Amino acid sequence: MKRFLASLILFLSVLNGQFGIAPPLKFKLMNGQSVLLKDLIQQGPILIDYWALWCSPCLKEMPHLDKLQDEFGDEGFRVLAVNLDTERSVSKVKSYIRSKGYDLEVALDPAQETYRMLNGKAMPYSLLVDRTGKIIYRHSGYAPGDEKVLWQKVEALVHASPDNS
Amino acid sequence: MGQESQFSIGISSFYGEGVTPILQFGQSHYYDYKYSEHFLDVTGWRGDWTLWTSLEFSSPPRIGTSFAGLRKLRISREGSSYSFMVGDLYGQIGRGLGLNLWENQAIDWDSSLRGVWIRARPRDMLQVDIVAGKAGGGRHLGAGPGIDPRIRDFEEDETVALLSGRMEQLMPGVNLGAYLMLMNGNRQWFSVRRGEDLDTVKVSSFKPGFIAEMSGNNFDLFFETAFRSNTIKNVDSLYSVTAYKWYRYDSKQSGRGLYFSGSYFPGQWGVTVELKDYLFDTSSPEKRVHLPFRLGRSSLVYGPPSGFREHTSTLLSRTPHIMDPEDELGFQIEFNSQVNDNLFLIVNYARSSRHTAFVNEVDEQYNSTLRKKDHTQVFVPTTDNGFYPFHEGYAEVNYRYDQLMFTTGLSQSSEVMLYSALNVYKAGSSGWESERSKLTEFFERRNLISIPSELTLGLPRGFNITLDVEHQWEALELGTQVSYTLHGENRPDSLEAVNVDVVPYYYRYVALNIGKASLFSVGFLFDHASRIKTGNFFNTDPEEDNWLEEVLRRNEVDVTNKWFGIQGSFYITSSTVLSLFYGSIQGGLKCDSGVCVYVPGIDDAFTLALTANF
Repeated sequence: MKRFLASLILFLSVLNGQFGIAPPLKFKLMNGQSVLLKDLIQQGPILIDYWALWCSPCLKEMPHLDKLQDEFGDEGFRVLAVNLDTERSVSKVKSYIRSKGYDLEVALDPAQETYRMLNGKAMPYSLLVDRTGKIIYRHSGYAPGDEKVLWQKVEALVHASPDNS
Repeated sequence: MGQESQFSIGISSFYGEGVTPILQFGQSHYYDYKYSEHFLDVTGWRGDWTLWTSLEFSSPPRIGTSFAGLRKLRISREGSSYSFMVGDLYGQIGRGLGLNLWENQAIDWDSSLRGVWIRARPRDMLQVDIVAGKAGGGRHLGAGPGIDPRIRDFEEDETVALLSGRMEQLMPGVNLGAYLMLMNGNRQWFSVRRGEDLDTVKVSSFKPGFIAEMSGNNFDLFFETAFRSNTIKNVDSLYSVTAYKWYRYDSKQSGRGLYFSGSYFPGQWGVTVELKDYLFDTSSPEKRVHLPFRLGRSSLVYGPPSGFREHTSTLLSRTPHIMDPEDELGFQIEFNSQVNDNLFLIVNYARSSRHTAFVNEVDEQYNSTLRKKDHTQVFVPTTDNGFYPFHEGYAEVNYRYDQLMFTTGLSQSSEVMLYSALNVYKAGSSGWESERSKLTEFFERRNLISIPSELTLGLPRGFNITLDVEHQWEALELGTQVSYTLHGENRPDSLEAVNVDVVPYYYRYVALNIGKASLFSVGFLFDHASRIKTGNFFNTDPEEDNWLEEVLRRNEVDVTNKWFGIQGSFYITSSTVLSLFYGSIQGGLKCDSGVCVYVPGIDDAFTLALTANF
């Protein structure tokens, strides 16, 4: 078992970062419009964050995402918060976002189409994508302190040379 | 994002071994419960083409049936004015009164279609969807302790064809849509008295629907309605092996569903109202209990909004409202407010009931028949016990200050879980009694008060603590009510004492986790029930203790009716998490979107879960 786990960890570590380009995704925004990821990243790097109203860690993470948007929004960076609530709670999403006063771009994916294409396994699921479509960073779950690592990753990407970011 | 081929991979792997108890009156049994369930999802794409596959190797899974091989496959193309998908399809039209294709492996639910979905936008304002395919599924004979959720008693499938049109921005913010569905289902039921042979019943359905949406800067309105007409071919009666009785089933049925949601969110507060009225099948309670499943129900791919708050806290999620999507009406109102920078408030109230109640009528000749009572008000549920009324009031406070997050809630709910009524034409032989009928009603009502709380504290150097403490009190009312009605009158003129026995229970759940961001978390779980509904006691025999229980018992901790566990999660990479658990897990209902499955508990268990994506 130990040998298996050690091999698996090594295998996963090697694999991580090898498959780094985002697929051709289309998001349906909360205002009803549809937008392609390739169009979004032309304006700057983007953090795609999958969340749902029933996901407690997701709601804990969202104020930090809003701060990231506030801090780096002027430099072309955007957060796309993709909501995965199904018909059981999707009617409450707009009300929640507005009451919270979040300035995030929100997309709705009740069928989990884009989440499935990105092989999401646990929420919140965050992917930092640069202008070329390369996934710079992926993270599953949220615990206090994770936002600091995310902040560093976004800051580094936004302040990297324009060719990369 | 060039034209070269790219791949991404997702892995999830679950392994567990332990024993599961079957708690019965008088004696309990344990049997081995092991699972080994592994998924490999691969997404590949080139240009606008995408291939998605999911491979499964499970023998057996936690719940559901064993499978090894290619589980899902789909090829899709996203064009500027059209898209199409071939293979395994997920998605909704509207809010699911017609088509709702979704999957949740944790409850062994899969209503996805294997087929084709074409979406075209011939004009800016017009969207057309064409869907055709086949859904497959299975059913268990029942759900509860002792039922193995890894064995499917019945298989069923359904071919579905849908045409949908949607006009967008007819006026600013106004969208209208309509759809038409044709469905042909094959559903199994027992064909032979006392036998285990199964026959297949063919059910054909025709279902048109209509959708209207309107949204503005601070409001959002949605309305959907669907009508269903179905024909059950070649069947006039069904045999129940549990009741040893034949039941006649109507070969033609029709039904309808209505759903409305409206939200108003002017600024730092918002309110959402949901109204539901689903009336597709009103089978008698005998058919609901004794037949494998309801042949007249709408469809495998029907999944309307549940219209009540579905909780995620451990104790509240174990005691959900048991929704009947074929026969339910009610409403939900949710208010939320960002009171100040630190405080967020949610208040929710939901109420529902069925449209129909049944009374067993015994006439003068002592013939017995089931009489149906109808509740005809749209969206407004009744509180009459026969209609299985449910209500819940819930309030939640979220406080946040820097690295401190505290959430606490209070829920009060009440639901009639069982009901039966017997109406005898002559109450007795005396003069007064012989002029009156006597109605005897029996009901079981569950009243719950729950307080879930969670405290999360971020500490220096990326460390954090999460404490989850939940309390729940249950008062199970077992009631009898007798009333007398003068022949020819509708309302009773006399009521005998209402006799209600109240059986109290309480439950506690505590989880303490300590971790470091993006590295690890370790925790301890404690789960306690004051009594078990079957009357048994859990964890009384020291010889069956696992080492954790042994340590606790040695330190004079009473482990009766308590479940303990230790867990750890470790980040191998930022998106690769390995979770381990040792201890005992209590079984219970697991629900999503109104669909519930009983997941058996595991004692003395070691479980391992790995999730990764690249």
